[in-house]
Amino acid sequence: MKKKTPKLYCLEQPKSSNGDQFRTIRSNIRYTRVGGEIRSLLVTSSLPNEGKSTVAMNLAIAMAETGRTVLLIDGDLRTPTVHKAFDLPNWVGLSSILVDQTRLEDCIFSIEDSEGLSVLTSGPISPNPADLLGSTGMKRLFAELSERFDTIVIDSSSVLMPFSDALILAKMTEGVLLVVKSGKVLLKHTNSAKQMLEQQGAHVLGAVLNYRKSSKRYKIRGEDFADWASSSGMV
Amino acid sequence: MEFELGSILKLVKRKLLFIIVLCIVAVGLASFVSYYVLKPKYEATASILIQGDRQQKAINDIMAGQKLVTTYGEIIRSSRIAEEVVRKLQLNMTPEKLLEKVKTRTSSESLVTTVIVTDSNAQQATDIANGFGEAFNENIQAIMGVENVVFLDRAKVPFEAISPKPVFNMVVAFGLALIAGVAFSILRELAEKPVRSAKNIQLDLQLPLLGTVGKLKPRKRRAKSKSNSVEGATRHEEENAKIVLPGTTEII
Repeated sequence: MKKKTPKLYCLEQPKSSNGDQFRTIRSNIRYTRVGGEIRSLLVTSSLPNEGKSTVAMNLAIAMAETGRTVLLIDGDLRTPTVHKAFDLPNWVGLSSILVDQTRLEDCIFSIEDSEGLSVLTSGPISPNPADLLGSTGMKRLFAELSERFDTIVIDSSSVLMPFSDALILAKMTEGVLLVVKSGKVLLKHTNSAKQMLEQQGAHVLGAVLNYRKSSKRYKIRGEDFADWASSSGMV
Repeated sequence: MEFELGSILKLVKRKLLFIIVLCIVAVGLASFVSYYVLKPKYEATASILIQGDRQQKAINDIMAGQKLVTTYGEIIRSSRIAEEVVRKLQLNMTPEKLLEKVKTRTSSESLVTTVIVTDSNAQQATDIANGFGEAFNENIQAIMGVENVVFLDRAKVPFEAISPKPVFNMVVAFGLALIAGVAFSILRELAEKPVRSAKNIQLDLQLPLLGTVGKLKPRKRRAKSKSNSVEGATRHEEENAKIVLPGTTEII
């Protein structure tokens, strides 16, 4: 299965409605928490191909726009996509730091187009991602990165896969964002994903509905606006 | 949702208990109904042979014979004969009711006419079959002027009921239950609702909805300064492919 490389809408067209959708998510996340910002965030979904990476990357860019330092970690060690989207080399990355102690500085890339955003790629694909993510080295690394950056966004694999990558990461982070692909994922799947995350003690912040069909009802057309404006005495 | 054979098999595996229970219930019901509820039916047969006039040369033998045999079949089922049988056996039913139980079978190959009687009582079926044979014997002279009617086989009391067939019923019930069970599981699977709207997420999942991402229209690609090859492979992809982590075997 060839995964499509996600697109960085927030970088390509910062002023477009596409980018705005992610800014809305960013603000909503901000207000879910009373007292202080969410410091680390895991983006996951119940099934593969729901748009986790797209949401994670664009959200990270949107967060960096507010002047915070953001680190995007590609925690999907099985089918990494982040380095493709940012067009980065994947010689070294998270897996190589955990396996053979590569220096952190060699793996973290600052993105030129986005002020304050850094990316830690997945590194070469290893045979045992779940062990790597559950290791003490990962905990140490995560603690170190939390000190260095304001916000950490982790893109991960899906929850309902037969391995526990996403759940391990969910325990580390402060909040989990569940991406739901509209019209494809069954309610029972999302429900069981949510329950699994909560059993692990993860804090599920909320869901993001992806691939929403834009129906006519939600669109405000020009003539509607004209009616509204004239009736409210603006013209 | 697409259904292939594999997914159906998986589904059946998951719902196996339900389907098995359904089959057991259906077979049990079928056996109960056929053993206790339905009245058993018995079938008695009597056969009559009519030889035509001996003097008559058999020119159109087959044609005539066939027509004759058919005619006899009709005659046996006539109300005149039926009334006589009712009178003789002192049955408390109308001739029409009686005729419902009687079938005649004629074969085009022979001149034998068979009377088949089905009844819930084996003895009564036998009596009726023989009654028909005798009544026909007595009346055929007057009706057709044929002389030599031979009552070939008297009906014997049957031991085996012809219906209901419990085994057959149970097999049919099992098959039907199996189909119904599989169909029901598939339907239930199809009735599963995919998440479609914000309402789903907030009510059914009870998660706050943090935002929706609609259809994202990619920008029209301008000529990019990046050295992207035609296949869309990034400049690092080939290099990345070369990297082998310790622990994986390198294939040269």
